[in-house]
Amino acid sequence: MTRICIIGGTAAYDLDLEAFATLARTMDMETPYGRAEYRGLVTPNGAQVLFTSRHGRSRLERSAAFVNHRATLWAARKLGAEAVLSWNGCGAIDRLLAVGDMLVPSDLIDQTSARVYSYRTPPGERPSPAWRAAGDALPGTPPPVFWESGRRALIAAARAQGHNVHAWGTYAATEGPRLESPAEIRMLADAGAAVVGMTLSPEVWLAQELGLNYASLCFVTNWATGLAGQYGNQRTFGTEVGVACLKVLMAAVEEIG
Amino acid sequence: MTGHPMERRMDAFDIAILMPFARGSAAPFATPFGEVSCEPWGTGGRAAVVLGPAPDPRAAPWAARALGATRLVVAGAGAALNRLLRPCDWVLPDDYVDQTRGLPTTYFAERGLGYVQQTPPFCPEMREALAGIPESRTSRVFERGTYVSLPSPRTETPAEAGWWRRLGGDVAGWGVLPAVTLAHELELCVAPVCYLTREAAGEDETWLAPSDADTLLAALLATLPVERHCHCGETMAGARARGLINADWWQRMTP
Repeated sequence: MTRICIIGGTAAYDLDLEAFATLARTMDMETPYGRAEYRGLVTPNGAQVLFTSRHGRSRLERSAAFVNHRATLWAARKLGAEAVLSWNGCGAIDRLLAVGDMLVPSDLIDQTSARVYSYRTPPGERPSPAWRAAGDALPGTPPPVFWESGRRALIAAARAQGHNVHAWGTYAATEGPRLESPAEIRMLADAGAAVVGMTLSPEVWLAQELGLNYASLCFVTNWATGLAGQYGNQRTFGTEVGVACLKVLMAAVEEIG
Repeated sequence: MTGHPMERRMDAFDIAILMPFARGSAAPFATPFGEVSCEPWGTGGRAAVVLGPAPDPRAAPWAARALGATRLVVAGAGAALNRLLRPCDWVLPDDYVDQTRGLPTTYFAERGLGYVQQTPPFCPEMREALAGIPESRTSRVFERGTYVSLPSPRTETPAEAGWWRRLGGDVAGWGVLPAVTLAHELELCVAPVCYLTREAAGEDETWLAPSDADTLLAALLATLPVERHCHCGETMAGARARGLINADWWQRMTP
């Protein structure tokens, strides 16, 4: 059985986990990159899952740019995870989407600018271009960016639960925490992005560096900057987002087996 | 700030202008993010302060706020991406694409704050006032345009200029970002103004002069009302209402 780690995004900090699974135990860990907070969960079918809330335990404590992805993923690996399923809230760029839709991204455009992208950057330091000069390139990122089996499981689980889920789409990652300008959204639309968020880079790259399979579920929480006027101003960031996403991810875990 | 040459003017400045260089008569002003050069400037009962650049882009907007300003003009030299533009033109951007890399983007490091909407990207009231920059035979004023911030201190390559042109960029330059988005977090009214010194991927043909700060401030103060009628001062109202920050949150910052 594949040991899965779930990284909860929007509203994960609001959830009562006992409504979804049996709580096993707290598995917090100090890592070379900082502290990681994990809960062990057991699904109704007996699968053991690691769970963490990306933005903090009790509320939105950290914006995406300040999430310690390295500690989270390093601890997941240390605790025996082989794959990661995550969820995230995102803004819709593609006009065929609607607020409340789900999308399982198949590709990524990285427009972040100041993250720590590799375990090769020493703890506490910002990235340095020195590794490039030394010819010490990072391992390549062969396509696909996202774990195909994980993607299929997320799509199947979301469909089975009645969600309007899209099986393909490019996620554009921006630096934040500010939202994007209208011109930036037009640029990302021209580049082919379907949704925009601040989360998946460097999370997916760091997972790959550790040999963890990675797939994510995007929940469309709002329209991207400049598009609400055309398509409506609906917004949803509440607990209902976390509840819907965690249910899908728990079902996907059992699907993966 | 005790004994600082700017001290007697504290709370007197209502406008700050950030220039890409320090003027000769400026004095240093300490911020949590390093020193910024400051020079008082006033006319007709209105007082402004001219700020110079600092290595940390958080320093100048913070200095503006600390010196009492509620409005910030970010002036920069730029390159013409749009072929309708030429050196010596003034452009008042109404949108932007941030291509900077590795710079601080928020005052809320390690916190869950700073999700600031960028609509409109710049203060409409200030943009209207800046439109009063005098035109001349050599200098035209364009009241719209998309500004593309350069990724690093180098100039753009021809390929980058072509890409940004296709994206809808009109001018490219340094210094405007992330200063304007940081100013949003400080609830300052902010607007950029760009003086074109060259064609994209070309050599400088002219330059932004220290005295241009006087031209810009004179144009602003001629029409800008003392009271703000925009919503720029409410950017963090939601966070304040939820008790996540208080009124003087910005005064207790650490880098």
